Amino acid sequence: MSFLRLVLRSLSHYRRTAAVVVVGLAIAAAVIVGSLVIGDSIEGSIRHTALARLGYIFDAITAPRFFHAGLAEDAKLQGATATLIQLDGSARAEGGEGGEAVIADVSIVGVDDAFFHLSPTPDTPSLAPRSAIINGSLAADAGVGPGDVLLVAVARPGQAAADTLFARRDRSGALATLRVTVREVLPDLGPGGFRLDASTAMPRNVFVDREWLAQQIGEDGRANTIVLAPMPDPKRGYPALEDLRRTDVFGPSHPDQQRQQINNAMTLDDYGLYLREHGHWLSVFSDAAVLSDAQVEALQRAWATRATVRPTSVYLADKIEVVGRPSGSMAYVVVANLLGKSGAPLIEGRSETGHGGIWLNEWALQDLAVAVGDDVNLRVTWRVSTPSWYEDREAVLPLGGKVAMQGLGADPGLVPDFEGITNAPHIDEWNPPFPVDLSLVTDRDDQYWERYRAAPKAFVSSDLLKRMWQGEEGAGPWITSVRIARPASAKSRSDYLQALLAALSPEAAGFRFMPVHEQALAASKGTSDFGQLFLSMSFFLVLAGAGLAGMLMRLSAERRASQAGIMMATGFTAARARRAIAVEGIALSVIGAIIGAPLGIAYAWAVIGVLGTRWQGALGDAPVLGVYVEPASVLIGAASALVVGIIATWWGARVLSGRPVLELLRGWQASATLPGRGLPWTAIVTPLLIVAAIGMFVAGFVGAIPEEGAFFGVGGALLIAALTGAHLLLSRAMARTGATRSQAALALRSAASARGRSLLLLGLIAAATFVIVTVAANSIDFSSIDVHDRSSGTGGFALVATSSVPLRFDPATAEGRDNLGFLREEQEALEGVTIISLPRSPGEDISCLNIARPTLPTLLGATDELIERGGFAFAGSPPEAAGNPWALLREDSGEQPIPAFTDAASLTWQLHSAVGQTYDAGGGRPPLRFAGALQGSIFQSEILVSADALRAMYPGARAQIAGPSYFLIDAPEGREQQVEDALRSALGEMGLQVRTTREVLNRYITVQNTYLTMFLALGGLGLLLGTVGIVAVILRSAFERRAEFALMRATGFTRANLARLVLVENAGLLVAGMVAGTLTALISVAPHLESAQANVNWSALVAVLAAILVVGLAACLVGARATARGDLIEALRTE
Amino acid sequence: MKNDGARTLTVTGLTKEYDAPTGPNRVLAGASLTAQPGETVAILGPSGSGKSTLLNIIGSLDRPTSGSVRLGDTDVTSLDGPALAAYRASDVGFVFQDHHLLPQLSALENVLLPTLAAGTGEGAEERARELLSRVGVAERADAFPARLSGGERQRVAAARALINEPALLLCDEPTGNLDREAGDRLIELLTGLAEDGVTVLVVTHNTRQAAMLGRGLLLTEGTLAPWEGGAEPA
Repeated sequence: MSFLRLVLRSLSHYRRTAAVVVVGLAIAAAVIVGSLVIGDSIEGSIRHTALARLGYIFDAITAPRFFHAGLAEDAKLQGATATLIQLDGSARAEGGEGGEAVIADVSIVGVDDAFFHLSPTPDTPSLAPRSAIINGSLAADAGVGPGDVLLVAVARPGQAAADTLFARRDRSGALATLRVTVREVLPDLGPGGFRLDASTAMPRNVFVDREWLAQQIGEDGRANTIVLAPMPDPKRGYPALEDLRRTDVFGPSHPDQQRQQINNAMTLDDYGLYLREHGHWLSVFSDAAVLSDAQVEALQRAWATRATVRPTSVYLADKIEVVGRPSGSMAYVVVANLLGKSGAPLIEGRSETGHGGIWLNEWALQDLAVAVGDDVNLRVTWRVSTPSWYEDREAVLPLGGKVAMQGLGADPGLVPDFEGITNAPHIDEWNPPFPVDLSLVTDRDDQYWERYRAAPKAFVSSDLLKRMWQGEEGAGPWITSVRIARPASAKSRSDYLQALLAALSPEAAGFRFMPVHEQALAASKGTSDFGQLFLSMSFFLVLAGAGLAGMLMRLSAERRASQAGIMMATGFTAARARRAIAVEGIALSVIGAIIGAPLGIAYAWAVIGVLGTRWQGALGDAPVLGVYVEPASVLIGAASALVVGIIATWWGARVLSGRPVLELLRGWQASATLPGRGLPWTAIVTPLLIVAAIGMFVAGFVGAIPEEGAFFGVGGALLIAALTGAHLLLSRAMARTGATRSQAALALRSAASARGRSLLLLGLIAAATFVIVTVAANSIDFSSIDVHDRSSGTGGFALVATSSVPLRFDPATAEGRDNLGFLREEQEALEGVTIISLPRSPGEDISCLNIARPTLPTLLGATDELIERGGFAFAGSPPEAAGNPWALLREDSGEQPIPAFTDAASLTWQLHSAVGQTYDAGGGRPPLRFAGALQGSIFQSEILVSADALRAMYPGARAQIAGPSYFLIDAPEGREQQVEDALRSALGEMGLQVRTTREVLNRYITVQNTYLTMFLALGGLGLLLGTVGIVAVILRSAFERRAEFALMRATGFTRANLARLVLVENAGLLVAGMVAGTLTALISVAPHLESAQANVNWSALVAVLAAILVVGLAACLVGARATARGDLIEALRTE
Repeated sequence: MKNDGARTLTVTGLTKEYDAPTGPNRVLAGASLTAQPGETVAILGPSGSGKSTLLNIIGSLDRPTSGSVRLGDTDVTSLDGPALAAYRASDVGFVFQDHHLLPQLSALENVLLPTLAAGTGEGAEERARELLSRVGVAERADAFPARLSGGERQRVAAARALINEPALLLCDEPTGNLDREAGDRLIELLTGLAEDGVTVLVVTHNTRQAAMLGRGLLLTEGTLAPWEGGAEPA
């Protein structure tokens, strides 16, 4: 005889009870394991999708500009490489199934054969010019397949910086339209879903031949992206995709070496720079018209020790005229900044004395017939803040002096190449990107052009020229060339070139070296711990399973009390006697965990299946979902379930603790509650709680306390009041004197005599019902929100639009719309409409629609117009700022982190940050500090910083964010559709997507609503299972009261009477608990229900509650009948 | 049997009071007795006189309000915790009116249960079979309690009480649920056990069976007095 044998004998003997305990524990184990496996599966799905789309690509080098396509080869990068062109654009089918609707946010990827060899499915056919491979998402959206024709619009890379006057903005200059025939549709899971960022959203990809694409966009022989894969093992090749989940599968990476190799192989052209020799001057220009501050600094650093280095700048004045003499004027004059501190032009090292203002060369002086000291009016078009972008401005300057027609006085080498201007043989053949009035051009001007080309005629101070370039914004590059005066002992041009290249760096030029594989793995951790999330949503299921097991363990312990007694009488200590029962519980917990683990995987499989279909909204732009089982999670889940089982066992066995051996020997006898004397304490507390609840309700209604506080306060007070009220009722029932006449009164008396048990049952049911009803009632729909309310989440904007490529003109102004090619009726549709155009950085969606952890959030630049307009609601206390919290975005000290706003939900749940905290925005961008958080706003996908701060973050890539690509549209009520149609019609080709702000908010809230639905389903299922446990409660009660029931039978009660008594007692508690929970919940959420956004799925809620009630009543009936028959009690006693 | 005859049971001035709504209810009021090893003693008394209480206190299942119980040199009333459990396991054996066999264990396993508590597992099965043989149910060793008759269950209970060779065997109405013949056989069995030096105390209402034991004590008004035979007071 051993302890183990005793336990095994007991388990075998009480096998029916053991089986039900195991079922309860297996349910708990299955739910815990399942929840963790769901978390693994979501993480695994994000990871698998990312790995499949990247294939063997571990690193990527992207550039904001184009570099020579042989860069990777010249750099001798280790591993396999592919050179790509990545562009944003839109697409539409030519006569496809989906009609000709423009599909926005399309990625156009120029590839060669090497690209597909970096994926595990390298057998993709080679691409010929004018043919394309697209992915499944685009094929579905555009309704095209192999053989169909797709019209693809891509942003044509501009030569001049997009935010300068010299950028080409007309539609044909900004966009290239490609007509391609779809050759093949690739599945999304694989290279078809290629994207370098970590977003879970499936891209819409068009793969075309890279060389052909480069030709189409005027970048022949160039590219903007290199992707790298480590070299495979010579014998075994590349590992399987899932093995790539380790970052070190190919050994350590060498990012610094990569940078150095690229740096060494880059040419001046790759930096967008070119050299021009002019006499003994050597000038460096940028093909973006202006050199970035970093480039100027690098050039000065490279040459300062060996030669005279002079940053120069030129601008085009629209007109120069003598003040008071309109006939004395010249049009389209190039102005340079060759005035030194004294105001005199610095020409050939020679300084002429004289006062500042403007200096003219002899040719201009002669044409204008003007004398030194006369005032000259200089008119230029310069950059101003939105909405106008560019305006004519004038400056009256005194004529300071004359510059001779030699050297810099007649030097066309000062002027960079402006496409359409400097390459024109005659002025009348100019084709500039801005409007010119060629009628103003004279024969003298033409003669000058033929003789001196674009040589500056006028010279002004550097400050003035700087203002011309920077405009009202007061920031940005303005140097058009850096020239060095080579000394007599001049070295060769290549020496200077080498020194220059050594001083430049790819990073400063906006090149990004991205460990994309590592980033994808980091992002696959997800924005939330989905395992924990699903575990919390399945909490009631775990509780129900463990509760059922615990109650049965307790029942088992109670009915074996006399066994514990005899064990103690024969020499067992009390602890050891209890341990015998506890070990049984542990054994059952182990069995439950073992059975529950595979059931958990099945549970996860089912939930993942539903997440892919019915609950798709929960994961936003979800990856391709699959079930991924991590052994560690199964073990942790099973171990957790074991702990839950042990706790349930401990709870069950502790009923025997501290009981005298003689009491145990007599068998379990529950002690009934005795009537108390005087007024129960609950008679005072209950009305106080009700008054407190009314007070908090009113306070919440009038806004004296926050809505959330009122909800918790009212709910908590009413729930406790329900319990104390029940306590009072039961106490009164026990205290009542006189005969108990009716069966209902007898049932009430029975419930009152076991007051603790009755209150526990009622309280548990009420609390669970409360949670389910409040969760279901919190569903929101923004369809009826007042979008014109500036303090709402829409900020008063009815529409929001995004364009796939930044627009070159601002559609907020009539002039901008003209330039963007709006038709008259489209212009008319926008009359009275306010548009606020915002620049937007490339990056990832940080809303709940992207479940991958963002590494490079999208930033939105809040312009002065938006900041001054204000609006939107702030979470918590509004940030402190003089009158307008939005002004905080301007408080950029230059040293501190940049102030930023985002939506409170994204801040908390996606970025895991908070107001006041500093945040690393990734991608080498400066750190941000959250100065405030918006409440329920349309800005859940982006972080807001000031537009100036945003532009300053992209010194090497201004073109990407120069134009606006995000538009807030305040359309008058009733005209939203008209405005939407006009914008879509005019800018559809630019990939403009227009959505109502209601749609935007509803898209976000769908995630929350789906989670609420899931909780309603899983929580309801848990409560349903919990009500089955009522049978155990009834049986336990029946076992305790077996003598009482026997007496009742002996005194003439029929079995039916007895069953009815038990049914009324327990069903009464069930119904009372559900009614209490439902009513308190409805009162608590009444303010929300009254709001326009409430969108409760009443039918689902009623169905869940009805199911719980029916199952609960059925459980009561089963328990009551079994009690009345007595056979179950007998079975329990003699099992 | 391990008793060497040196462990005399000495009960001195036992009192026991219970709280009742009407005030303390005194059940024992200075009960005393002495029993030598090998002696069989019948304790008689009317219902509610405190016979079972006296037996429970002697067996350490209950505590007296005052007075003491000594077995040899051991002050039973001062035992606590593991020492108390050890006393129950090794020094005392109980036979109850309701046999209290564990339904999930066979007769043999029930007999062996106290060895699990005392940790006297070595040779225990052989000893248990001997005891079962001695009480006359050797052939039912593997039967479960539900398959045993009332008399057989009590015999198994007696064997269980003796498995750890106690110095004291306490029997609380052991024949209460048995027919006359089975009851007599059980009393004969108990007297036979005393020959091995076990002190046997039997609470009974049955004067005929009490007369079969060595001597009798009558418990009335909380004190013990010699029973001289004759009818038990009502």
